[in-house]
Amino acid sequence: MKRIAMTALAIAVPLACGTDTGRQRTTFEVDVAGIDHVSTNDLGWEIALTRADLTIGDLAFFEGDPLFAWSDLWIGKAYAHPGHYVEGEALAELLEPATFDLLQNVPVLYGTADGVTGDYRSAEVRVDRVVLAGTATKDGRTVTFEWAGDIGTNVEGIAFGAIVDSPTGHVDLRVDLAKWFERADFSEVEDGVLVDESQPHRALLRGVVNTSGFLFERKETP
Amino acid sequence: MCPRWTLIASAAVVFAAPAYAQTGTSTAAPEVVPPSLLHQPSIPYPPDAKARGVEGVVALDLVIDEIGEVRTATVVRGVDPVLDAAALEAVKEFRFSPAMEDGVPFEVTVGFAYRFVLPTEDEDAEVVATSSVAPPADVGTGHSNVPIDGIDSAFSIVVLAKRPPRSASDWTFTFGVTHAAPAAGGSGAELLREAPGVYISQHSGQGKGHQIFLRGFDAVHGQDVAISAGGIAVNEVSNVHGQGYADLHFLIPEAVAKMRVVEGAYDPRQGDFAVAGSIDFDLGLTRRGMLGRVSAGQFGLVRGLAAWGPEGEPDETFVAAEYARSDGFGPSRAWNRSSAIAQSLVDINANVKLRLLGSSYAGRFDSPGVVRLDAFEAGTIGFYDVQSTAQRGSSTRHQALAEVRYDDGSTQSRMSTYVVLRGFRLRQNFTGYLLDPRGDLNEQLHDATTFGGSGYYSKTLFDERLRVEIGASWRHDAIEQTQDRLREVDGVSYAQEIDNELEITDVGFYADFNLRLMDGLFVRGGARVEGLSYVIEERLANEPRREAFGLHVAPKATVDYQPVDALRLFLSYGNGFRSPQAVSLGQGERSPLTLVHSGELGARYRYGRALRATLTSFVTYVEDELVFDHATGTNVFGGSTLRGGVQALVQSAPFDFLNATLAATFARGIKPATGDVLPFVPPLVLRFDVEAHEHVRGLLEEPIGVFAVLAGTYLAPRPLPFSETAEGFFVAEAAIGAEYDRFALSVEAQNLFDARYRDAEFVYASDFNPGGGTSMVPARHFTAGPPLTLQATLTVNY
Repeated sequence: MKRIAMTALAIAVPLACGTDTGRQRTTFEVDVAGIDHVSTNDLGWEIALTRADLTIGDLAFFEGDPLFAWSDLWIGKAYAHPGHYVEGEALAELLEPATFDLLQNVPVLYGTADGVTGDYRSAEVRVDRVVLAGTATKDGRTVTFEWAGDIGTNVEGIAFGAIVDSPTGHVDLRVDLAKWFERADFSEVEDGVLVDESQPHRALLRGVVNTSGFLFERKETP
Repeated sequence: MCPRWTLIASAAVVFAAPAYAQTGTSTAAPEVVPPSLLHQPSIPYPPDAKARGVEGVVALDLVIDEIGEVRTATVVRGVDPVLDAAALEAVKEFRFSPAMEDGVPFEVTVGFAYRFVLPTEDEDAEVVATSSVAPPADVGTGHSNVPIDGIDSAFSIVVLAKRPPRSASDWTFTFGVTHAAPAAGGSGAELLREAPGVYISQHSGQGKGHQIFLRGFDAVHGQDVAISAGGIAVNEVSNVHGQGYADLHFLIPEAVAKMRVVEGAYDPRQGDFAVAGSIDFDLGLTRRGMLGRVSAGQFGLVRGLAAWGPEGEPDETFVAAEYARSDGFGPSRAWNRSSAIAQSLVDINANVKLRLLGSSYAGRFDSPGVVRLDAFEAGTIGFYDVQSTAQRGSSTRHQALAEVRYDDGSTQSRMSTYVVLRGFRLRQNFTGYLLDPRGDLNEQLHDATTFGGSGYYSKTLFDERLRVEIGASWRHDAIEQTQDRLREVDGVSYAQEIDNELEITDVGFYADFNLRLMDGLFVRGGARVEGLSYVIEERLANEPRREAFGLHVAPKATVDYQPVDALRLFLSYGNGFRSPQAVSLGQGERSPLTLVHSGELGARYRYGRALRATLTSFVTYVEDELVFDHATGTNVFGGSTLRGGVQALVQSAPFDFLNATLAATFARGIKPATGDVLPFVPPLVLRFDVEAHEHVRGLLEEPIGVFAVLAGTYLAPRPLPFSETAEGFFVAEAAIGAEYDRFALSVEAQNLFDARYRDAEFVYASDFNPGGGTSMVPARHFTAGPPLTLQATLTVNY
């Protein structure tokens, strides 16, 4: 029976129409919002933000699995051309830089990503600049701080699992501000200034490029 | 009417004056003029003898009377009653000029030989190539002289019938009627364009192996098409640039006599890489004497050819050499190449011949690489511009072959052995700066020494109802290959990615039979067993050598039914395979092969010279596509695929001066699991070739030959990844010229209508901006096809 079916299919092959090679170009909107404006970090500091601006250089989505080493394994291998292979296939991207006020209570539209359908597994965000202000309180001591950092780093291997196979949907990017401050110790901060190479300065530099601070979710539009 | 044979030689060869013609007492020897053949009727190859596979030489004595008629004919040495009778019947119709002694005609007895030959090609499918792109020289007219060994004859005639085809899509193209030079200095690789359903593209400079598409397969650089030339395998196993890489630039087009195209995998002689089919080039110079040819054209094109085919020797004996160069039709497209081929067919005795072949080739080329379509559409780069100027390559091939042929009329055998020395260098950057800010320039080096050979023994059995052939082919490749990443700015290596030493042995055996069940009904088939051995050393891995072995058994079968003389029906099945890249194999692993099942139903119709047509429907099922991933060094199973299509070939020569061929191939490929269409493969390839040649009388003493050739290829829009479609296009080639006496002058045009077309398209990620910031989503890239290119050619033959 299988052979008969295969033969029938074979006969039908020449009659097949269309150019559907299995995947399509697609676009989807991406919006951005911050979460956890108020949090208590691992060192007991309660962080309350009054300003949180994030400037993103660009954003891309990949098919590579984020569970492996970021540097060279997580990007999937793509067959580009005989004899010429490209490490990692970007599935979608949004190349426009934009600055977001992460303290707004509503998501802000970043833009429309151009891409292709497929099995999305990771994302990459270029963090260009961060401006933070707020208070850190612990054991009755409150530190008011302001900090602006030029980061200029691609945050690679951010987990994002979604099968994008329809043009109706969008992606939410939620920035978990608590993750940025997770290891920051404000004990030695004076006058609200985060001195370069001080502990909270280094902690924030690490925090803002922590992949777990970026939460992506694909939502289908009803 | 069933003219399943071709009369290929008819001229007098040697006249051995009879002894009694020299009698006399005069002190001055009488002037004796031998008879010469004035008229010979064409005779059919006796169908019964052909059906029984009978061939051989019929030696006769002819008594030619004073008026040049054959008074009596006697078989001196026969081969078969049917062939003997056919020869006797034929010679009665011959007309000679009588033998003369001092101006007086006299009766004379001369020896005569008819040779009936069943060679390997199928004349029913034989197509006279007419393209301007790669025909051999054929200034003037004339027939080949084919001496008959061991027969004391004044004249020899060869009646060439053809061994039956393996399937409906088993064609042989002969090159010998057109007069123009290959357009744009093209190499023998351009001959592939004449094979039905084949489309070739050149995406990296004139010197790199072409990308070949056939019957729904993107055969890349040859992985799905087995190619040989002069009996030497051309596909390179485990080439660092791609499995089965086939570079045909060493072929001098004028030195190619025939091209046999077998689409599908129905012939037990087909081994590795015969997935979509196989293409075999026979070398020969169809014009005897010295040949000189010079072409000069646009973009600094210069090509010179010198060839010599000794008079009285078969077409297979020749020497040819060419040099060609061009600045190219855009930046980074200059190329040079030089090639020489010498071949000799030596008679050892009446039944044994020795063929010796040697050739040497060297070429270098600049490569333009690809252009991003979005950059072109944005106006930031021109259609013929280059995105990486550091791309180039070189290629060398030196080879020699010795072959012994035995033929006693009922038993044939051949045994050949060859050696090939290959060198290949390629620098390419198809991705810009995507992988590394220093640039993704990639240098691949591949040096291989190949020892190979083949042989077979063929005999008729059981009252000539059965013909059996036992054969084998073998090759051993010793390979050194490397791949480095180079800085785009200065070409300095910053990373070595491959450093391999490979030893690969492929030994194949086959048995083939041709059984006549009844008149007009044949069954052909057999099986091929192939063993492949691998020894792999990856120096960069710092691991022990690995060994692997693969085995493949391939049954083949064809039913050939001829209900009436003009019509033949074929039903064929074949199993084929493609071997994997060696470095993908693990220690002790049984080598996984890409397995193919191929089926075809076809019909051939023939109405004299006026019309020959073939219509086929084919299906190819690939069990599990193996795609080699260079980045990981492993084969990736890509799932099963199914391809099917319909193919038509029509050839017509309604007049002596006109020859036309039209081939149309409609093919589709899908993944059965999803129904998705396979990308890149053109769903429709149309090809036509028209050639006209006529002699006209002018004021000059000799008639002037004029000729014109027009050929065209249409490629329908091709599916691309992400359900996009590449543009279809039509490209025409033409030549026009005239010949007088020993000279010919012609003008050839490539891309006659100056179509701007994307020869090849690819979809993948790239970043040609050193500073980054460009899109990394898979983008469309293309290579530009050549624009209108004109050249003029002077040919001298003497």
